[in-house]
Amino acid sequence: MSYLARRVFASAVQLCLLSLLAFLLLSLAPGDFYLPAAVELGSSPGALEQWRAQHGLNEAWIVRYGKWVSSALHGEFGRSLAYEVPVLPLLRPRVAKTLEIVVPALIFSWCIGAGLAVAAVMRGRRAISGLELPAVILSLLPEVIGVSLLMWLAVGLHVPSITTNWLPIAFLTLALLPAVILHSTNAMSEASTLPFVLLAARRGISRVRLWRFYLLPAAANPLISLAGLSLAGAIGSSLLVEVLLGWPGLGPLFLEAAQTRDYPVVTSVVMLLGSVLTISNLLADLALYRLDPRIRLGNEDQH
Amino acid sequence: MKTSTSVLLLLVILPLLAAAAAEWIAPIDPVHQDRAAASVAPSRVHWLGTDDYGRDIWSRYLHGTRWSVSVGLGATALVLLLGWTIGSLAGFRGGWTDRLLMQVADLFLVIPWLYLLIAVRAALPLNLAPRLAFAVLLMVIALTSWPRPARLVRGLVLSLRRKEYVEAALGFGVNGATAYFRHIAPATYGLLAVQALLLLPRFVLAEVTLSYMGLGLGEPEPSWATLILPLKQVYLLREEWWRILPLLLMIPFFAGLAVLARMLERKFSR
Amino acid sequence: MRLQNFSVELGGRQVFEPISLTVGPGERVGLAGESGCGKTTLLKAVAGILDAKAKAGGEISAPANIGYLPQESLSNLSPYRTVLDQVSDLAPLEDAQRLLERLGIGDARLLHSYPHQISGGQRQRVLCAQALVAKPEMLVCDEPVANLDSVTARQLLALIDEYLQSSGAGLLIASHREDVFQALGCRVHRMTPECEAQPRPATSLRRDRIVAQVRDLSKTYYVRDFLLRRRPAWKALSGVSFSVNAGEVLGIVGPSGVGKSTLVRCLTGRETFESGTVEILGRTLEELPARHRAVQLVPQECSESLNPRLTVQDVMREANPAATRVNWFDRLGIPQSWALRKTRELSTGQRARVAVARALAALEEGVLVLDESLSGLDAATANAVLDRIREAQRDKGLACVLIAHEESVLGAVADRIVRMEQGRMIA
Repeated sequence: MSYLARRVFASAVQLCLLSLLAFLLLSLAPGDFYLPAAVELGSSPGALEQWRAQHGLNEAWIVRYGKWVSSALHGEFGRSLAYEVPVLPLLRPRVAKTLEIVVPALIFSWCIGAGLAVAAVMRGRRAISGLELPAVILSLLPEVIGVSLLMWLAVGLHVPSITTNWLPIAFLTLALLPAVILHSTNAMSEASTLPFVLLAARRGISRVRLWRFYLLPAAANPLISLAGLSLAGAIGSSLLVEVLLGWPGLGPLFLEAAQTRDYPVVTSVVMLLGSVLTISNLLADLALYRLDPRIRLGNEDQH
Repeated sequence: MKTSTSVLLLLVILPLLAAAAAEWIAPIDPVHQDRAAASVAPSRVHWLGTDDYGRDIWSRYLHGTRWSVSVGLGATALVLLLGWTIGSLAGFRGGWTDRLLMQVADLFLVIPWLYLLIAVRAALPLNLAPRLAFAVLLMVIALTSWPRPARLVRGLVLSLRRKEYVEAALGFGVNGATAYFRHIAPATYGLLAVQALLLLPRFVLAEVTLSYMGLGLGEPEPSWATLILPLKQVYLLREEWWRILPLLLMIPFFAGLAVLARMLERKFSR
Repeated sequence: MRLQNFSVELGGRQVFEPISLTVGPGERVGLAGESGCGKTTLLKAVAGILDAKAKAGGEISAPANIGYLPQESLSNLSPYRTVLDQVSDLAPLEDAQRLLERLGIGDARLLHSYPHQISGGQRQRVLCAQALVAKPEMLVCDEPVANLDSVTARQLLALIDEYLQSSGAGLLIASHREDVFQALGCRVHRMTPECEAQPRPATSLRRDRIVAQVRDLSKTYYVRDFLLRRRPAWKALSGVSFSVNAGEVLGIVGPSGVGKSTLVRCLTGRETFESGTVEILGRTLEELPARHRAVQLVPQECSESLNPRLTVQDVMREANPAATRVNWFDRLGIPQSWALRKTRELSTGQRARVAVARALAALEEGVLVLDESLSGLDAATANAVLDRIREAQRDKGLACVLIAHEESVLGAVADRIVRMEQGRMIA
């Protein structure tokens, strides 16, 4: 019980620190006003001051932080300086669009990746090495080629406009696949060489039993951390994919906000993503808690 | 050394050498515009052709390689130094030092890297002169990327710290730093080497990505990003096919690094 | 089972000389040899669980149904399966339950516990159950009683004996203790030349000067709850007092978990304690100008206390910078030829000798503590180590504290023996 409490408490602390970081980051930026506004308002200092006061930009930062946190807890994340609308409604459709490509990509990459890994480990060493080389080559694909060749591919294949989502999903899946293959193969083949797994195999336990009760639980720890990393990687890669392909997800909005110093949007997105990953880490630890008796029932020092 | 390894090393080192010598090898000033010779296909004078402004692409490629790879190398060195120091401190000291440092590291790790990179970069002035841009990029990448290597080093140092021979050394009155460098540090070098090979391409691409988005080095300076940027207009490839050559030339570099990293990883995990 | 010129190569090194051996039905063969001579590797090869990177040469024919009983350790049992599940995976449930009861672990609570929750002795019995439950034709055991106290060991051996008699299976067992072979009536095959049976008793060198004095020592372990507050979890030591004189060998015995290691760690400054005093040569640990010259600890896994990448010379020099002068090695009983070899190239027994030599090199005057360091060693190595210690005691007037599981391990080496129980010392 105290392990759970400790974990949840730690996540709560992290969320608090996260909000502080997000806010601090933008507050310290030299140029703290929305750039086009500055250009428009031009040289009259009075108008600039008035604009700043209107947007609450000239109070002490801790006051602004406090206000921001309290309004956030009410579901209000401020107003975008660029679009002059509340942030949350602005983000919602974008988040939906991003999820539209991230979730399928994660599912596909895991099904394919883990599936291949299981098959390779079952077949033995040669199969594993045989799987690794293509995976490594594949891991190069998104990084270099994705920058431009993909565009060429899209136009070459006459993809009209990006309302169909198969291209972003395919690309994101390809981006995630190598890491999933490599890490899950590693985790499972390491688990297969553990003494108690070897012994169980040698003693003739059925394959299904062996995998379900001996091998997979042993590989659970690295696999669950991999899942967490996949999610983070998927979100990160989605930014690039969306920007390149013009997919109207969170990425392009965030980039634009960063370029124009629209700090409520930037802060909110950083806070949102950080929270999502903090919670996913918490869930991963809880899953591990459930699966590993050593954590659940306390680590007894054997005497 | 096996031939395959030497080939890989060559793939990686050649661009580095060429880039380092860019000043002397590049036949034409990369920024010089020759409108008369705009959009010319590869020829004996212009090995990779010219772009819309009549600038020699081969020279731009050389200088661009120098820029992008320098950023990558600098950032890698900085990140590894930071990560190694912080990770070693946290792992060796343990207790509150460890807890504090890792809490900070986790905070950075919980935000997707690209988002964090852009957010931090955007907090600083946008249009900068090349030298300043270089320093800023290095700083931004280092600041956002040290947590992962730090965590890895910390894990290793933590497990080694508890080894009996470290305890014995401390029991012999050897001071902490000496014990660390004698018994623990050598084990970290392998980890750092693998990380270096993994991080270098990632950071070069970070530079390219940032510049591509207008947050790094912009026109007219040559970098890999400014070479790739025009390809956004895809019709360009149909008319000026040679514009893709720089991209193709970059691929072996990343390929070589990735495979080398994998080989090194396998060697150290034995 | 039959082996003909069988050898195994691992990591480019031949682990043992080619062996030819036969074990027929009902036959019992014991494998004897120094630590590190390859017994475990050979047994693994026979049982069919050799490391994938190892290469086997020669002929081997072994029955399919072999029961393998490894040396106890947590890694040989799945941490994710309960005791009952792990055994019943291999045979019908009733058989498993019957066997577990026969082994004395039929209690319902135990059956539904996980391996990390039960004691080492209980785990060994679970491993035994796993080995026997499928009614193997041949039993292969690797040091099955090395870490058990004598009562449990006897029970286990009796059970193995019973099974072998009733089933007519063959037995191949490795141990470094001769009494195990005798108890089971084995024909012994030696992998390395014969060595002496027991550590020799030595004459007492006790003088009247007290070197180490412990008074009323208490230590509690704390645990942090989720708000990071300290909560007392378990009292390891309460009011322990004893003293050791120069030239004396004090033995501290007691079953596992009773606080011996904790006591020793407090004595040598590796752990802090709440109340009581520890004085070496009349001064507390903090007052001692050079603590490492006055008290040294050689831990249980003594080869772990040597950095595998360093050479013997480096390792000795770390303890005492003067130790590389020529006659030092001789005095400490280490062959000069070892000086430039990396410690990982030495066998376990050789490493033990270096570990003890290192501790002796560092000590000027004070107390040497050996925490069960002799338990895994064969008699030849143990004798060599004890000889050196005795010599150092003669020369420098050192005191020596030996921790052991039970008195028989100490043999007649200790001048005085005290017992510990539940964190307390009993005279």
